Formats: sequence, structure tokens, C-alpha cells
Amino acid sequence: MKSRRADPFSFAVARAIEVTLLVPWFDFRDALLPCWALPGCSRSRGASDRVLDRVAHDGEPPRLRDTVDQGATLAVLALGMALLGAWPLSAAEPVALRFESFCVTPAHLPSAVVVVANHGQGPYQGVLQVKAPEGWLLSPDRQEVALGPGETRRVAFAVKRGLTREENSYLLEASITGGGTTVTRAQQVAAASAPYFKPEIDGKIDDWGDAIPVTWISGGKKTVVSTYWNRRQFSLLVAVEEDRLLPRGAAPATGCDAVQVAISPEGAATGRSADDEATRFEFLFVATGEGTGGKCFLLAEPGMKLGEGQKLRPLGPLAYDDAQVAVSRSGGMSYYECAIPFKLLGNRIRPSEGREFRLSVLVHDPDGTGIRDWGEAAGLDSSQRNRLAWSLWPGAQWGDQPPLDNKTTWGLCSSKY
Amino acid sequence: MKPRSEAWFSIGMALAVPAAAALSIHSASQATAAERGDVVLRIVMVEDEDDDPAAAGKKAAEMLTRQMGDAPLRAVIISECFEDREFKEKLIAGVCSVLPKNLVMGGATYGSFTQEGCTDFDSVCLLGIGGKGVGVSARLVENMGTSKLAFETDQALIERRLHAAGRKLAQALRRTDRDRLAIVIADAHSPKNQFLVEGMQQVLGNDFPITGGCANKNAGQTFVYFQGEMHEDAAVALMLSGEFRVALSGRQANENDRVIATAAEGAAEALKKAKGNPLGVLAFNCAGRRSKLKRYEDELAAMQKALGSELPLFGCYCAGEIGPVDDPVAASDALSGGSGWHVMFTVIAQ
Repeated sequence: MKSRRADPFSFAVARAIEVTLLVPWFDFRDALLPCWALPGCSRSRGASDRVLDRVAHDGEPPRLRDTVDQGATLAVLALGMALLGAWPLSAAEPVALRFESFCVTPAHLPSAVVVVANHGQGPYQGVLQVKAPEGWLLSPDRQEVALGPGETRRVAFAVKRGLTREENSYLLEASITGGGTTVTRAQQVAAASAPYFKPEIDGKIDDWGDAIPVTWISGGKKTVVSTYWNRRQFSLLVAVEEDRLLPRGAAPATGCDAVQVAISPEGAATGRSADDEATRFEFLFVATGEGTGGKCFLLAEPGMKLGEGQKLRPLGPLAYDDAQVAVSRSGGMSYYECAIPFKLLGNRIRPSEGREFRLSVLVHDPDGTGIRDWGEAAGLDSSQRNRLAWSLWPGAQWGDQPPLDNKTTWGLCSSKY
Repeated sequence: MKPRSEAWFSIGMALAVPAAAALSIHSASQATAAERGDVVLRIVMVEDEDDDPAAAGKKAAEMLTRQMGDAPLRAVIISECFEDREFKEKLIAGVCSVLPKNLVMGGATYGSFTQEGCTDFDSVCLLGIGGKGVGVSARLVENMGTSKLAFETDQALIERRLHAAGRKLAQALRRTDRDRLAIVIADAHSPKNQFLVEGMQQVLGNDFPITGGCANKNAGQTFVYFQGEMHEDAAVALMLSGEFRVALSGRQANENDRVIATAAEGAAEALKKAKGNPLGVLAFNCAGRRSKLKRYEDELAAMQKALGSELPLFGCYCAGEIGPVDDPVAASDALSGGSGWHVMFTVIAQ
């Protein structure tokens, strides 16, 4: 089990210092910087506000169209997943709990990993218990946990018997009792895993039926991420429900639609200082507007100073033509089909069955929902917002707050069968 | 036992069963007159560094032939990790250019390990089973009808079909009063493998030693080998009979330190239980366990601590393992079962 220090107060101070230090790096004359990257910013209306307005005015949430072979049940469950994904820590709770995504489907016996964070100033000791869906068997089902002040630890419960569900969403509950207090967290957990497959990156999505899609709803719109791997490539299909697809350069005033993906090795952490080094590979995928044309930009690589990603660099020199991209549109969905060669990732993430790593996805939908952050649906908490986790780029429209960290659990598996 | 010629061999016929319309059985056997004498187990492993799978297969087969010496070869179990059918075909052709095709059985795996080390991509490992003290009956069941069924939607159908396939496989094996061990290599990704084992146990009994592994389940890579031919949606079983004994153990883990510790524990337990002089060890290991290791070699080193570094060791990384299931919370009265995240050891002793 791994542990790390996570003191929100220290982080907040550090972030304030970093913002001050970063200010001279920006060229404000042309840059469209997010307000959270600027000193003295005030909240402005963001995508979530717009969505709330829309729900209130219409009287009911927007209807979801099913275009990627997902049922209405899935949409409702995914919405629940997103809602339950909010970190429940309150001032009175001594610790915070969160489940990581499964690395393989439950039938293939993953571990249910609970991240326990002691946000208090003193040591914490308690007994952690996990309640799994009916028919599952965990071993053990409870464990003692001792944490120092500010310490975070991953506690694994082996799934001895698990039942895979087609909707890929599982309600688990963790509770920890210590010092006379019990903290409980219920969370919809998905299996975030890439089966082995060699898809054609051609703008057709019929290759993706053997993937294990993760779905979440943000601003009333569905996003579905499917992944595959093979010895040569890591591939993604990001299906974005949106009213229209804005290719790069189509509407400079509003920015363009895009998918931003960060991939990091297991055990990597995101720094909190601009001088820290990036641990991620970060990609931006956009539509070119010509047929199913798409373009990939490599925004960050391990070793880059995190502050570099906060500059508004021209995208041209960051073009990464070794990646394959096709962007298509069908039935109210935009499909970003992408393949990243392991020759780039391979010295950090070995392409092999069962390999665990970290991945997250931001969807940019500037004329719709704004930013959609997989980190929210995966259960990351607000203390994990870190502007250094994602690179800025010209044309992006950011929300009121920085996105969540770019590291959620993901796995390479053999097959869903 | 009926008297048999020194090299007895037959090719069987197709049978149909109601549960899976096209379920078919093929057979092959190599046995000795009385299966008395030495049992010889030899293992070779070759990594292809020249993008020439045929040459790698040929080289491995030639090495095995040399190592077997004068011992009559009864069967060869192959564990290979080449990518895509084209390269697998070339590899098998290379192996069968040296070894009798009808003796070559096995499956695509995620890699192999022996006393020499661990491999993954572009490698082949051969286990030669021979000597006058062992007989081998091998059977193939095809068209099991489960390779593209998912557990969440088709569990009952998978159970029914794999029970039927397991029963057919076991019923087709030539049986003697000296049967000691069934080795199964199947396209039955964990947790499906439990149903296949249960089907076999309906014929062989719950206490009969069964071990084995499930073929690589990566899309386009799933093959089992029978008489040098590639088969999908199939399972092969080898019944080893003769003057030897087997001892089995199984351990489950999915975290680095526990993977290493359980490898040592499982190997030590099987060796301790073995009666007689240990001749070799089979280790059907989980590819998922390997992925949890910081260094692949650490698990092998732990096994070697228990087994020593001289005893022939045939290991492969699978998509599900067959042997004694390590599950204290759901104990079974059967000696073997099918599961995942396991390493299943069998020590063969005489």
C-alpha cells in the first residue's frame, strides 16, 4: 500500500504562492486564461451554472439520446455515479473515504481499493469496512487503519466473488469507525480497464464493442470513454454527447471542442509547485473539420516543468503526428477515436496485461456543458483540484475552478470475456 | 490395462452433444506397454530476437530433442507468446519441423518462465514429457461455444456448455489404473474455467489431480494447440499415467509482496507433499499476478528458494489457472478448481 502526505492547508498556501510566482510568465494581451490562473480572480458563471439554469427553466433535465448502445438505465446510474462522486468530507469528519475504479471487471476479481485520507492535525486510527453489492464476497471485509496527520493510504480488499454488470457501475459503501465517530461513503464505482484489441482508427466505431466503457453525465450530457491496448498502441474512443462539434479554428471566439487526456505511470503524483516536474503524458485531440480528420498535440511529457503547462504555448510546435486521430459525428454524439503509440509511453508504462496506471479525461464543450471532468465521476474530491495537473492551451474555455487531478486508476486487461 | 505397443497412437472422431451443437472431440495417445521405468521431464525456452518465429520454434524443438536424449517422447506442451496468428503459425511450423506434430499440445500464453528466467513477448517454452514410465492420452474438445460469451449476460449458458465440454473431454480420455494427473489448457478465461473443471470432475471425481491454465485471451491471440494445429474456442486435456506421483498446491495473490510470498509458499507446499524423488515442477501462473510485480524475477526467485535452481520448472502465465483453489472463505471439497490470480504448482515425483 502506498501513502502520501496531503495537507489541504499547506496545499492552499503553496498554490497561492505558485499563482503569484507564475503571473510574470503569462502574456495576458492575447491569452484567454482561466480565471483560476489569474491573481485576484472572482467567480464567473460557468458551465455548471448554465446547466442548472437550463434544468430549472425546462422543469426537467435534458433528455439523453442513446447512441452508443447504452440503455437509459445506464444513463441514470451514471448520473448517480457523478452525483455520488462528490467527496463527502465535512468539517466534522476526521477522515475522508473514496473508492478507486476497478482495474478489471468484478467477475475477474479485482481489488476494491479505498483511499483513506486523514485531513486532521493528529493521528487517526479506525476500522475500515466495505459493503459490496449483493452476491459479492470480499476478503477481508474489514481492516484496521492507522494514519498520521495529513496521511493518505490505499487499503485493498480482494474481491473473491464479483458479478459484472453490463452498465459497468457498482455501488460500494465504505465506512470507518474510530475515535467514537463513523464516516460512511457510498460511491458508484466503475471498472476502468482497457482490453487488448487493435482497432482501426478510421472514424467508424464498430471496432469498440469489446471495450469496457465508462460513462458519466456532466451538465446533463453523456460522455463515454472506451479504451483498448495492444503491444504498439493505447487507443481511446471518447464519445461526447453535444449539440454540435466545433472543430479547431471554426469559431475562434468561442474556442473549439476537444478532448484532453493525461496518462501517467502507477505511483506518479502531481506536484504542487510550478518547478516540480510533470509525471504525465498529456494529449489534446481536436477535430480539423475536414471529414473525419483529427489532430493530436502533445502538451506535456514526464520531466517537463509543471509551470510550462501553464503558459499559453502555440499548439503548432506541439503537434504529435505519431498519434492517430479520427473525429466523427453521428446521432448527437461526437466520437474522438485516438491511438497513442507505446513507443512514447513504453518506457514508463509497459504494455502488458494487468498493468495499472493513471489516466484522466477532460472534455471541452465550450458551447455546451463547458469542461467535463472524469475525475469528478471517479470520485476525486475538491482538495484534489490542481491547476498544474492540466496544461492550458489557446482556445480553451475553462470553468470557474481548475479541474481535478489528472490521475485516476486505469488498467490494461486481456478481455472482458 | 490393455497391453499396448511401444508407440500407440490414434486420431479420434467428432462427437456431437446437445448442449453445444458442434462440440467435437479429437484424441491422441502415446503410451508404453506397461508404463514402467523412468519419467523424463525436460524444459527449454527460446526468445526470438530476430523476428523469425519459425527459427525460434525450430531451435527450441532441436534443444528439446537433445535434452530428451534416448527417452521416448510422449508429449510436448508448448507455451508461446507470439503476436497474431501469422507468427504463431510460423512458430508452430518451426516446432513441428523437428518434433512429431501429433505430440505437440499446448496454448498461447502471456509468456513463460523456467529456471533460466522469465519471458513475455516473442518467446516459446517447451515441456517434453517422456520416458518409459509415463503414458499420455490427449484429447481436444472444440466448439465449446463460450469464447465470446460474457459472464454478466450468459453465466448460465457458459456453465451448461463448459460442464458439457468438460465431461466430454474427460470421458474421451483413455483411462488406466495408473492415471495420475490431468493437464488442461483451455480457452476458458477465469472465472469460466471453474465450470470446465467441474465438468471434468463429474467424470474423474472431485479428488482427481487436475492442473492447467487458460490460453491468452487477448483478442486474436486465443489458441490452444493439439497435434500441432491451432484451435479456437477449444480445450485440450492430457492424462498422464504411469509410475510416478504428483503433489499439487495453489496460492492466490494480487499485490507485489503477496505474489512473491505466495509463490514461495505454494512451491514449498507442493515440494513438501511430494512423495519420492522430485522430477520436475509445473507452474501455471496468472498473468495478472505478474503485472503486480515490480520485477518479474522476484517471483521466480521466491520459487527457486523453495524448489532450488536445478529441478526442471515449466512455468507459464495464463488467463486463469486450474489446480487447488486458495480460497479460505469459499472452501471446496474438490482438490482442483478454476480461478484467477493463482499460481498452481504440481510437483511430479518418482
